[in-house]
Amino acid sequence: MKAPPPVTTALLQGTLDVLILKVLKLEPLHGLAISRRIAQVTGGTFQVKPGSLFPALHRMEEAGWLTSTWGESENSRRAKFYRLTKAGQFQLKEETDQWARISAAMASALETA
Amino acid sequence: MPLWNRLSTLWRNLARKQRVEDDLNAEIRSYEQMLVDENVRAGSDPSRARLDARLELGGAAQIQEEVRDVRLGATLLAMGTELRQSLRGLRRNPGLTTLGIVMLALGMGASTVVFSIFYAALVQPLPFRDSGRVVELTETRQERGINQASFTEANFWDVRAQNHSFEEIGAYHYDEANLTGRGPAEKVTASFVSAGFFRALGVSPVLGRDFSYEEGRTGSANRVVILGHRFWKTRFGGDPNILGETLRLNDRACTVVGVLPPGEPWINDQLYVPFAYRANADRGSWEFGVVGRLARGVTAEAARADLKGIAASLDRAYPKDDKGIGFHLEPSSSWVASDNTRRALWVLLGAVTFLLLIACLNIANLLLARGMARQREIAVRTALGAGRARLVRFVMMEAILLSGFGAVFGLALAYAGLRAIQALAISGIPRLADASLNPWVLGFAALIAVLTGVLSGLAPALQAPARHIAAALRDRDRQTGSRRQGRIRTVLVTGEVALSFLLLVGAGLLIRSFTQLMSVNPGFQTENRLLFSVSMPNSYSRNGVGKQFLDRLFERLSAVPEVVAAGAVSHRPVEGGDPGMAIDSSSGEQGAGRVAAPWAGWRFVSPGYFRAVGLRLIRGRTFDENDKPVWGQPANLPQFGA
Repeated sequence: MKAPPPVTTALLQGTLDVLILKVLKLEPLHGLAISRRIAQVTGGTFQVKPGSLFPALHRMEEAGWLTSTWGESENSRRAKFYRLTKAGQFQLKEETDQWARISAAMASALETA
Repeated sequence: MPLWNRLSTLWRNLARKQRVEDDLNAEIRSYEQMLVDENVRAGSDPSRARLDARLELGGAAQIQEEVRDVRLGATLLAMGTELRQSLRGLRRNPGLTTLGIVMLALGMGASTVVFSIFYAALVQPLPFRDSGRVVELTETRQERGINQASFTEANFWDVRAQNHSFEEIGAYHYDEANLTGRGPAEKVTASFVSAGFFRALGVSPVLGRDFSYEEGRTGSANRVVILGHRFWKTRFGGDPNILGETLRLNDRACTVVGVLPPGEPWINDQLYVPFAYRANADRGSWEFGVVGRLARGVTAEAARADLKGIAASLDRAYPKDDKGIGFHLEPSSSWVASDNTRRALWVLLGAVTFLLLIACLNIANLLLARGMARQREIAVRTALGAGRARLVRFVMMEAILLSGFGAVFGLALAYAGLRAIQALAISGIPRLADASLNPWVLGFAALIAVLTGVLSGLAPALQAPARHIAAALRDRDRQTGSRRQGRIRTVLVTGEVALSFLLLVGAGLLIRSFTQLMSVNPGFQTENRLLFSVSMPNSYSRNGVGKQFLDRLFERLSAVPEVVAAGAVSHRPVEGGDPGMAIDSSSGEQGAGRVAAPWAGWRFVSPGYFRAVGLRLIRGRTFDENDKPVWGQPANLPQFGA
């Protein structure tokens, strides 16, 4: 089956945040890994460009949802790793619930229309 | 996120800017490197891999810029930068900057001065407790056409005793006295007040105590005095130990028992002396100002009805003096400024507002003209990624800076201007001495500074974002600006002309009424005349001592070569409070149905007075030394009364 065309624009407001929180829930990752993991889990629908990724990461770090530390990547490069904080986990739960409600509502609306 | 974290982040972003930037830079670099690694692993040759990595990354500088925009304090930092840029821009244009600041300083200075006067006269509350219950009472004789006159002493005591509407009624009688002892001799205002006067007003002394009801009775050995606040400050340097000191008023020892708080009206005289009830008080001479404090729950209407009843009974009881008596009640809200003054101050405030508006429009126009010259700069900024909001802020910043500087200089001007106006002591502006740059006025100044900045920056900011960047960049010699800008300028200029015209007409009308006022012929000459007042101690009224004193005074004055003529008058002309009396021409005939006697103003004068003021008689002759002195003068009525 052919993958749907990738979506490169900012898409829906808040999509990126919840995706970043989701992929970081499993393990700390650096920027490029986050981008690749998002592409992977969305089946290639979201291709996150650095121009969107970096501002989002920094904004979320300042909001207290993420913390960052410099570490070594799987290919022994120096890289900055992001980790979910307690506040971030809480935020993820909030946003997941919200998305569930929205997508259910959208789905039912589009089906019945 | 806890506030503390936010603050420490903000601090890091603002204070350790370089470290934050370096960190971001390293992160982007590492991202790029890992992209290259990825491509190499996928089989690209190194140079190809590097190129692809660049492409996927996009511009590093743009990423940095976008991250900067989301950081805490980004707006603050950007504004700091813009502030510096705007300051630099203003320095580069000293002509425009100076002109703008001077215009705004003048506009704001004028508005601030007028507002401080306006505030003192119309907004500032009266210095009386619960001033809504304080009223002024006056007598009326409607059938004689007199609708506001002072109280007579006897009527005051009667109203005070018979009313059921007032908590307290107090009376005030202006007087002057010679103060001796403790410092040089000085002529002071020493007004008589009834013991309850300050209680009626709702004023408590800031030092010492109020008069007690037993005090100051005629014949009482214990004479007391209360000092006005300003007099206490100027004459006694605000001495806190003044209580109990003895002052000599007209050669009688008085003890200071209190000091009043500052304020106007009624409580700004120099000294106050109590007067007490007399059974034989005068009922014919209107000499007392009367204030009352309405009892709780009593309306002005109810009090008026009550007073009407009292008037009727006084009319019956004293047909000789109180025929047709009535009372007028004036709420304290209208004491300070009459309706005319009120209107004049509003007009003045409106006028300076127009002036400030014109200054705003001028600045807007100047900035607009400069904005056109700067079209290219703005186009470059847009091309480099400056958003619309940022551009608007950038242009706005200049206007706000200008108005900020204008406000600072304007306040300095206002301070000096207010001092100058107060030094002139223009009469007719109520509570002028009280006007100051108080917090309210400063708040007003800050408000107009912000409004001025926004108003004058609005038009230039609207034209700021260049629509056609490419065209603007290409066109090297655009001078005239687009049609849109032309429209904005036309609107501005039209507005300016309209406002200026309004002001001009207003000023013209003002000047016209002023010249009319000036051309009223007072009947005497004011050029080269000097006026001073003398008060004599009571002892001078005996044995003609006063007359001797005046004779000696005139003799000495006439000896001064510069003096052409000298004379004395009991009440100086054109100053309100004209003494008057009825002229009873039909002596003896006291029958009913007699029409009210005509009213004439009177003054005691010395023989030299008419010559000294240059007053010409219509008929007859002036007094001379041969006329019978005092208390028996022939009537001399130049144009009064008729």
